[in-house]
Amino acid sequence: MKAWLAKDQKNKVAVVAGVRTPFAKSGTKLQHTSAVHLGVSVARETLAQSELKPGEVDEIVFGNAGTPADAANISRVIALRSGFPQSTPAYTVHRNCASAMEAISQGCLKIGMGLTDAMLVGGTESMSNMPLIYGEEMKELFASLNFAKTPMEKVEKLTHFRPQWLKPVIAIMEGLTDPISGLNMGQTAEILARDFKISRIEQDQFAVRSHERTSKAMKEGRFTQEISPVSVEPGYEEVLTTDVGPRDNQSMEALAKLRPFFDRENGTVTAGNACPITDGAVALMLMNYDKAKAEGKTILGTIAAHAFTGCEPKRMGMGPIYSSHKVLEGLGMQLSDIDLFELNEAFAAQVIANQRAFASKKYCQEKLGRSEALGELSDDKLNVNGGAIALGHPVGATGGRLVLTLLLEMKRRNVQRGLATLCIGGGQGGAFVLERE
Amino acid sequence: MEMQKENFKKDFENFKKAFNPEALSVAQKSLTLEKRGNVALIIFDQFEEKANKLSGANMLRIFELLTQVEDDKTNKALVIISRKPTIFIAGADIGEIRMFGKDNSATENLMKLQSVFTYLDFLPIPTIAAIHGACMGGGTELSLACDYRICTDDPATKIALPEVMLGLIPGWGGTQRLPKLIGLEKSLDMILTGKNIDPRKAKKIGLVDKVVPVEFLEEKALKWAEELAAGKGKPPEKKKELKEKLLENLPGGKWVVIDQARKMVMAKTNGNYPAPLAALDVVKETFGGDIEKGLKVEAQAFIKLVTTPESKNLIEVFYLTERVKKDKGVEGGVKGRDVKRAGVVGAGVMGGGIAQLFAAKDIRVRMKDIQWDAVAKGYKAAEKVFRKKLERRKMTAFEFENAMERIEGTTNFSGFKQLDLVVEAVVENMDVKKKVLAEVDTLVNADCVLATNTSSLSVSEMAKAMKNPKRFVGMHFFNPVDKMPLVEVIRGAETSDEAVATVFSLSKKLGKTPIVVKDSPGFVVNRILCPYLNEAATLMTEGVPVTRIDEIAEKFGMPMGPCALLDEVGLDVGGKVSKVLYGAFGDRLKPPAVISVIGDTGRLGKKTGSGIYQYEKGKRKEDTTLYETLKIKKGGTELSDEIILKRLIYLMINEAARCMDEGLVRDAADIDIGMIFGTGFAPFRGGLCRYADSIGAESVVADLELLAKKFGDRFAPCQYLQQMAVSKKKFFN
Repeated sequence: MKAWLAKDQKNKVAVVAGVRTPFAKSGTKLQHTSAVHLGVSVARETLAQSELKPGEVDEIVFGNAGTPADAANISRVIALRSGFPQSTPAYTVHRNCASAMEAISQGCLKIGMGLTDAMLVGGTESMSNMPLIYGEEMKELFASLNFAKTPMEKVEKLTHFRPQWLKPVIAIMEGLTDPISGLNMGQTAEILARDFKISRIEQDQFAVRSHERTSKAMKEGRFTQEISPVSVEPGYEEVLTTDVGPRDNQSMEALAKLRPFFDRENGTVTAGNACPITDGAVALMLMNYDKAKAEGKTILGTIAAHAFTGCEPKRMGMGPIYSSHKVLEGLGMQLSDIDLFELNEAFAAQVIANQRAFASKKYCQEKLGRSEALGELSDDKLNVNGGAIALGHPVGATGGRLVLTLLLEMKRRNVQRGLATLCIGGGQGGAFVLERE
Repeated sequence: MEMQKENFKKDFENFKKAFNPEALSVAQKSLTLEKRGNVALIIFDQFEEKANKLSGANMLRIFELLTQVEDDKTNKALVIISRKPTIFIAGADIGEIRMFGKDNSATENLMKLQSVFTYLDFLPIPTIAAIHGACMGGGTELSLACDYRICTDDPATKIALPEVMLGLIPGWGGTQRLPKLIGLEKSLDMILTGKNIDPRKAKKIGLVDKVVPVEFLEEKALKWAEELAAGKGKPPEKKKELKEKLLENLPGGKWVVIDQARKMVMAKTNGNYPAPLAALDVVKETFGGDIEKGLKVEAQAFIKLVTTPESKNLIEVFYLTERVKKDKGVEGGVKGRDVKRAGVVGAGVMGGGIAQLFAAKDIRVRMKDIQWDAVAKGYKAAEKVFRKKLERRKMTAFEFENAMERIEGTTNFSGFKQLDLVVEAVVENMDVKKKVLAEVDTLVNADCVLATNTSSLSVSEMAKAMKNPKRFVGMHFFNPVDKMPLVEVIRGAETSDEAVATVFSLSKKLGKTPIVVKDSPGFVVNRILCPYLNEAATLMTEGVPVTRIDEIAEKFGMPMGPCALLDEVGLDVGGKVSKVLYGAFGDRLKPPAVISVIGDTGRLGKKTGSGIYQYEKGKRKEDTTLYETLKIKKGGTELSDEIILKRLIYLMINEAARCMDEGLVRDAADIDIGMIFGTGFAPFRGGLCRYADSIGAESVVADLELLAKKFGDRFAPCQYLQQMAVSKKKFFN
C-alpha cells in the first residue's frame, strides 16, 4: 500500500481546531465518566473553536477500541449528543492504538478527494469502563435458563451452576493480548528489550525523563491550549482541568522498587516504564484548506502525508520505524527534513528500540531495504513535552493527541515540519507528517 | 328507564329554545354521526376552531346524536372520537360558565346538561371514548360516562379534571363516576389537584382500559367496539389494592381517606380555596350512593361555587394566562429570532439555572465563566434540577444525559459567534456588567440578541457600554430559576422590538410567563414587593412577632409571609434591591435598619441556615431569641390583624398605581400576572389590582390616608390612586 500524499490530492487538508480532555489514569478522576461524554466534551469544543456551524461539518469519525455496550457506533452517539444535525452521518473506526489516527486518515481521504469539506475526527476511550465478561459456561447457563419453559426446568438448569463460572474475563486484559502471538503487549516490549539489549536502568531513566518533561510542560501551561476541561460524571461535582498521572517527583529509586510486570524472573518492563491505562478523548476539525483559508479560519497546520504499515505482531513496538520510513519515502524526504517528533511511548523499551533502529544502518538495510540508516531521533526533538509513560495511553484517542500536541509545539517552536508516529497492537505502525506554513 | 328517556327528549326540545340558533347550527357542523358497519361513530371536530369545547349547544347536539344512535337499532356499539390533532375535548366553555350562576334556574339547567352524560351512561349498547390529546374537565366526564376508554400513548394525551383550578368542581358527573371507576383515593388526587394524568399512569390507575399508538386509535377503537358488540373483548375488572379495599369497604374507612385529603387541602390552601373543600363534601356525601341523587348534590355544589369571588377571580387568572399565550410582547408584526443556540455568561447558581432551562427545552447553551470552578457550580446547579426529574421519573437516564450534554462549559468565548442569544448573568454590579457586556458585544455576530439577567440595575444604563444597544434587553428571571414562573422582559430606552419579541417568545418556550416592563428601578415586581417587605421589617421593629406578621400574610393567601420570603431571597440580595429602590424613590422606600442589622451578623437567610428565622435541614423555625438579640421589645398587640394586613397590602396597591401612572406596563393585567407568577400573590384574589378593584379605590385611598396619619408619609396615596378614587375608576375597566 502507498502512503497518502497531499500532493496527489484534489484538495489540501488543514487542521483548523483541536482539543483533548485531560488524560486521567484509569480508576481515578474519570473512572465513572463514559467514553461518550469524553467524546462529546471534545467534539463540541472543537466545533466551537472552529467557529463552524454544526451543519457545515460533513461527517464525524471517531476512533474507539473498547466499544461501550451502550454505544456501538460511538461516533454517532457523540455527534448527536454534541448537537450535530441528525442529517450528518457518523461512523466509528478501530485500528487499535491508531484508531484516532485512522479517523484523521479518513478525513484526509474524503477531504482530499473532495467528498467532504469539513470533518470532525478524533478518538475516545474510557479504559476504566472496559467491561467484565462472563465466561462461556456462564453464558451457556444464562441461555439455557432463557429457554427453560417451566420453573422446574429452570431449577434443574441451576443445579449445574458452579461458582467458579462467576470469575469474569477482563476485557481489557484480553484486548491487550495479541491473539496471533498470544503475547501480552508488555511481553512484546520485553522482546524488543532483548533484541536491542535495553537495560532496566535505561528504561527507567527514559520513564523519569518522560515524567519530568510532562510535568514541566504542565507547569509552564503548555497543555492549556490543547486541554478542554471535562465535567466529571456522574455527579458533575467538578470540572477536571489537568492530566492525572504525571508525577513531578518520579525518581529512579521509586521506579527501581517496582517488580517486572510481564516477566517476573528476567524481565525489565515494569508498570513504571510502561504507559498506564488511561481515560481520555481528543478531537480535531479537518477542513478543505482552500475553504478554510477563504473563510479566514485559524490554520494549525496541514497534513502532508500519512502511512500505515504492518510488521511482526510479537514485535509490534517497531511499527513506527516502518510507517515513518514509508511516509518519508513517499514524500521523498530525509529524517533530517523533520524538525520535531512525537513517537508514542507505549513502553520505554519500545521507544528506545525505535531510536536505535532508526539510527542503525544494518536494521534499516535488513528490514526496510534502505541503503542508509533513517537517521537520529535525537532526544531534543523527540517527545519534547513527555509522553504516554507520564500522560497515559487511552488507546482510541492517543493518535489524535500526538498530532495535536505536535502541531501546537511546532507553532511554539516556529518550526515547519513534524512527524507523529505510533506502534499499534497486533503489529502495525502509523505515521503522519504535518506542516506549518 | 323508557319513561325517563321520553321525558329527556321532551325536556331537551324545550331547553333548545333557550339557545341561539346560530350556535346550534355550528354545533351541528361540529359534531357528526357516522356509521362503520354496526358501530356508530360520533366525530367531534369543532367548526372553524382549534379546540373542541363542550358548550351548551354542543351538549345538546351530543344528546341529539345519542338519541339517533339509540333509535337506529342496527347500531351495536358507539365510539366517540375527536378529529383535532392534539385535543380530544378541552372541557366546558369557560365563557359560558362565567354566565352560569346569573340564572335563577342555574342548578336545574346544569342538571339538564348532566343528564346528557347520564343518557350516554345508560345507553344500552357498549360505548367507547377514543381519546387522543388533551382530555380536560367535561371531556373527561364524557369519557367517564362511556363504558370504556381507549387512549393514545402520545405526549399530547393527558387526562384531567382541572375544575378546582378555576375554583370549581367537576359538574357533569365527575365527582360521581370517577371515584366509582378508580377508587376514592386516586380520584380525590385528581379532583383536588386538577393534575394531568399521562397515558401510562391513566392505564395504571384504571382511568383508561387500553393505550394504543395515535395512528391506530380509530382502527383499534372500532375493532374493539365490534368485539364488544359481539359480547367479547371486555377488559378484566381491575383488582383493587388491599389498602383501597379496606379503606373503602370498612365502616369509617371512607372517612379516613376524606379526612386525610381534607388535612392536605387545608395545609396547602390555608382554607382559602372553597372548591377542593366543596369537592370533598360532595364526595363524602355521595360516595357509594345513588348516582342520580349524587348528581344533584354535585350540581348544587357547583352552582354555589360558580358565584364565589374565588372562582370568578381564578377564571380571570385563567384568562390572564390565556392572554400571555397569545401575546407576542410587542405591537405590530415584529417577529423575534428563533433561538437554537444560546450562551450564558456567568455560571454559578443563576447561570447554571438558566442553562438548565435552555437545555431542558432542547436549546444548546454555552455557559461561560472566568474560572472552571465557577463553571462546575453551574453544571452542578443544572444537574441538581435534572437529577430530581430523573429521580421522579419525569425523565429517563438517556434524556438526562442528552440534556446535560447540551450545556457546554467554557472559560473563553469560543463558539459565541454562532449563538442566537446570550444572557449575561454575572454579579449584580453595574461596572462588572458593563464591562462584560461591552466584551460580549464585540464577540458575537451582529444579529445575536443580548440579554441581561438583572433584578434591579438599569438596562438603559448598561446599554451605554455597547456599540449596538438596540439588540440589548433585560431578562429578569426569579430565583430559583427552575421553579419561579415569571420573567420580566425589560425594554431599555433603545431596545428594539425584535429583541423584546425574541426574549418574550423565548421565555414562553422555556415554560415561563413573561411580561414586558419598561426600564425603571426595580422594574415592576420587585418595586411593588419592596414596600411590602419593608413594612414587614418595620412591623418587626415595632415589636410585632415575626410569626404573627407571616401568619396574617399567609391567611390573606400569600404563599409565604414576608419575613420568610426575605429569608428565602436572602437578606443581602433583598437589601441590595431595596437600596437601589431607596436611591431612586427616596424615603417612601427607605429600608428599615433591622434588615441590615440582622444581615450584618452573617445571618443572610435560608442559605446561611439562619436569618429572621432559623433553618434546620431547610425547615423553617422561629428564632425565639431574635427580638432579644435585636433589643426589640415584643409588642404590637394594639395593632389589629386587619391593620397589619392593610399596612402590608395597601402599600403594594399604592406602588402598583404608581407603576401604572409611570406607564411601566401596558395595563393592570400585566401587573397582576407579574405579582401572581413572580411572588405567588394569592391567585384566588385575582391579582393585586383586581383585589384593589374589589375593595374600590375610594376605600383604599381613605384607609391609606388614615394609615399615613398614624404611621407615616409612606402611606400617602399617590395621585393616580386618588384620581381613581375621585372618578370611581378601577384598574380593570
